[in-house]
Amino acid sequence: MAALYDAVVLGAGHAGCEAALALARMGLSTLVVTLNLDSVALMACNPAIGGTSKGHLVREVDALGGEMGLAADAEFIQMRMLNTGKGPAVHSLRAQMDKRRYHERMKRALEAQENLDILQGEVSEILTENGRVSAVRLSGGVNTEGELIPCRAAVVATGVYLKSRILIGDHVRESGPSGLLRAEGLSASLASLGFPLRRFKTGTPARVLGRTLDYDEMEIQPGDVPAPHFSFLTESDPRPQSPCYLTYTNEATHAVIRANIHRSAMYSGLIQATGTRYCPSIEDKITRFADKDRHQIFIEPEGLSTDEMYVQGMSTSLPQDVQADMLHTMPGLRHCRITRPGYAIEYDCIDPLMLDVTLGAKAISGLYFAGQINGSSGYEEAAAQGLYAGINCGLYLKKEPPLVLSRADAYIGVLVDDLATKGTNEPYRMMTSRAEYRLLLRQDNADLRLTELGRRTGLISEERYARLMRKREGIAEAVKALSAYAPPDEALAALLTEHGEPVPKTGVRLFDLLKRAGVGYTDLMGLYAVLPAVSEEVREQVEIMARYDGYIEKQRAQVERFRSLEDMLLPDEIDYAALDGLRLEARQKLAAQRPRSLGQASRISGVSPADIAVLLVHLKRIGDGH
Amino acid sequence: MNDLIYALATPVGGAIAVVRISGPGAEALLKRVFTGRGAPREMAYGRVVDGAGETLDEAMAAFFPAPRSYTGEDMAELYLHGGQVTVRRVLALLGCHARSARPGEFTERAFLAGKMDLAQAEAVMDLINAGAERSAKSALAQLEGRLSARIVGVERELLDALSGLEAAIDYPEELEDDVTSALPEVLAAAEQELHALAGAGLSGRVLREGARVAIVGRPNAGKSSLLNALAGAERAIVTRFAGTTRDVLEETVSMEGVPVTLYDTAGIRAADDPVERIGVERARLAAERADLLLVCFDAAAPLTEEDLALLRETEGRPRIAVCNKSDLPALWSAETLAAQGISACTVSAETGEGLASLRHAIAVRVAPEQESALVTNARHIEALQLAAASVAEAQQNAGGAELELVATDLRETLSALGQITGRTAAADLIERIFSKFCVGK
Repeated sequence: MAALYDAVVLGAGHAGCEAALALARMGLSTLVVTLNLDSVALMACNPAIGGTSKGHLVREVDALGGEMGLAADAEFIQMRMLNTGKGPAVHSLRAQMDKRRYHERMKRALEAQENLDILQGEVSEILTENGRVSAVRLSGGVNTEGELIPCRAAVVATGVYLKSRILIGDHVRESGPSGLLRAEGLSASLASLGFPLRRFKTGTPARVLGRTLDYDEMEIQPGDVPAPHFSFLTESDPRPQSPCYLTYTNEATHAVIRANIHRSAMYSGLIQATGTRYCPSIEDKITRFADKDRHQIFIEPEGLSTDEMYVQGMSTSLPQDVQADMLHTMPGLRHCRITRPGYAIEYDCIDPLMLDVTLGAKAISGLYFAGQINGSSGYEEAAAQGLYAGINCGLYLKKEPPLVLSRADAYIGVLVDDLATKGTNEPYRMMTSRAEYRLLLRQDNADLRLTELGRRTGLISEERYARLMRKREGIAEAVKALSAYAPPDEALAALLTEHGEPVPKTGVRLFDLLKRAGVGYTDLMGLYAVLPAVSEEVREQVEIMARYDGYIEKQRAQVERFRSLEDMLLPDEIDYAALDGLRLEARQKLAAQRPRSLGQASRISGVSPADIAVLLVHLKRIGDGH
Repeated sequence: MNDLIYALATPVGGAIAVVRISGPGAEALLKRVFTGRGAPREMAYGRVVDGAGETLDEAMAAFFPAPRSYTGEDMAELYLHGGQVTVRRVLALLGCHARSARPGEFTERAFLAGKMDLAQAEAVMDLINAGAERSAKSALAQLEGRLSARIVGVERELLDALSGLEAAIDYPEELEDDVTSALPEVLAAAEQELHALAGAGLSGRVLREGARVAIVGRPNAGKSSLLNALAGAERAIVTRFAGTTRDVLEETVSMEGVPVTLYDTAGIRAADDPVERIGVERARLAAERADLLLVCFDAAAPLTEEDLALLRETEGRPRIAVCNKSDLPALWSAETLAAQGISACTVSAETGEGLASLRHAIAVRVAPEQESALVTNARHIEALQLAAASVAEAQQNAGGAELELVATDLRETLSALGQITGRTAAADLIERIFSKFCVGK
């Protein structure tokens, strides 16, 4: 019998890596098991991390002491801040990665981590005793003999590997992504533990050989200089960046696809699983948007040590010969050679409504789920869940209260609440549109929002905390100085006139001057000696505070109302079936989902405001000690 | 702190109608509208009189000081002889001074003040629940069909506009559709339609609660004297009192039979002094909630930049321009405004010249129409006005780069409309984005 681990993490993808590192860093003896150690943190689809809303998630992972932001900052080959033409709340960072180096960087992090063991193998069963996780069973065959590994908790982060099938045209193969093994046994174990399995589908485009492309026929897309970064710990890095390229589909491309659509695995009926609107295949795009005469296609490098290029926007399950034909219709790709065909992949996943808001299984103590197994898609969504599940698994093991992030705290809170409260019927993707309090949940203030909250987990280094404190102090100092009044004078008049702003006749608060279009903190510093010199990040914060002022206040008020319901916790022992006044549907939904708070209950579909009023009365009675 | 609320506590059509008032100021309000005086918790006999001194009903009333009342707050109850018209007029009168209660609000206050035991509270909640269920379902049904179609129409237009903005925010590189250039037109049309809808609702509410008429204008344009003149010309005026806000004075008068509450707002202008700003903010709110604006100008002084700005800001709102101080030598005349299509009256608050025709003009603008379809529910009207105000903000932001602010305003608009239609924008939004736009990788 092997030694007892505190926790075993199943899978070493983007979720598994974060979960394993978090648990080990919290001082818990942890084992991470992966089907293939050469695919740790594999970027099986696009070679990019971040993007709109996903960039927010990466910053939040970083602010909570996760690894993804640091790894991306270390191995990027291009950085681009998206949406800079719009306001700061929706700025999002995206990095092109060297895939191979990213994998190596993350694998090294696992290897170097104290308290963490790494093992290539396949977990085929999770064992429980008295409703608690007690062990996992390794199946024989994948470089290991079958054996039982006792453990007190487990994090399931199996990605798209459960009984997965690859589909290319009419070619079907039982396989994980990129010719990797799939996991055979765990599906049945999860089902027997009471998790109904669902079948989701996603897909990826072809990769092509760079030297067969005509780059001068495409639009070049360089990175931002200087390169921004994800982590609040990273300093700017002036390394040379690799460009991406833009081309378009055309009528000829669409004709090829239409003529062969019956051969697509998705249209021939071969695929039964639920696909996602968020990552439509090219055949979906031209079918659903038949009147659109072109679609953008981005060509992205897969890394520095390879000439393979990713064809973003062309995800497909058409046969390989059709894939070649359609690529050859496009400028820049007329002579391209495919190195790997695109494919669709379907896999088993659970219904996240089986989870509570810590990503722990409601029915089994010590069992956590993170990433695509929960019905999400995307590396960043996976990493965010991995870190969050890892932290909460660790807190569970230490018998400490969970770290629950709400929709008003973080995109992670929105993600977890959406999955665990509303569920999803297709692979879930994060979007800024999902965040009600978008103006508050910015990527520039992830540290201000989360680092302090996460401090008790032990994942926040002294350095990170000290930086946060410095930033806070800098902001407070600047805001205090900005409360001074500026008398009307010529210098101010000149500055305002230059920016086309009206000149006030009376004294104006400096903070209010910052609200004027084009007037920055540095401009004011030139005029008013009372303003202290500040760091870039402090300057950014006070300028945003001024520009968004009224809206920030408005959203804060909304958040307060939101929290008033969120803070009313529903005790575990409520017997919804016996609670008078609830409608039948609400009674069933509440009994099945067992929400944590009144707020969460209010977001369950089928629970009405009237039902919430009944719960409110019930809570009041308990609170009064009746 | 709770505000002052009132509601009819008995079903419409009974022999006796009980009207409840609860919250700070309940006693003062009772004294204001009821002539009888009695000891606390004792019935008194008297008359219900409106602001013009007219008797609406002979009735009984009682005052229950806090905490020994149903809600635990200061409370008053009026026992009317019923008759729908009488009850409506009394509610209209109270509506000038208090807010109409939400369903269940009295019970909620009672419960939260610890005035009910659990069994009682649950029983009452059950009743409220049943009511809330019904009202949620029937909110739209309450509206006349053409009106509800119009509200749903605006909602759809704005949801489309919002989904475009959201697609542009979430897919900045992929979205090739132009989602912004049509925006100013769409938003302007929506605002106009919302004002029209809220206006259609006006008649119904005016009948019950009186019209809200706000006097706006730069400082020293003669707003206060105009208010006094309009109110003072009525012999039997209600007592004048400083409103709940520091800078808004109000008077309730009857204009050609139409109950009208006049608000005198502090000068609306960009204030940099924080204290003054609070006053200005309140004035702005009063102006926003008004059914009709009297935009007051000093005809004896040249039109200032502030005057012109005010004209721009109030464009599209129901308004009458008032050229005051006709007793002084005029530097310009109402024709200047009329030439721009702005209806204007010339008056002298000092001498009373022109006041009669101004009062007539006000009455005509706010008087109930007989034939038109009505939005009668005060909460619906408020929702429509709120929606109109946030669309107006969206229009201001639409000129800038910060699309996320326009989106924030539109979400607010849709949430206000959702109070009528029962729809949650968020639920439909993602669906709409992906059905309208080809985005996603």
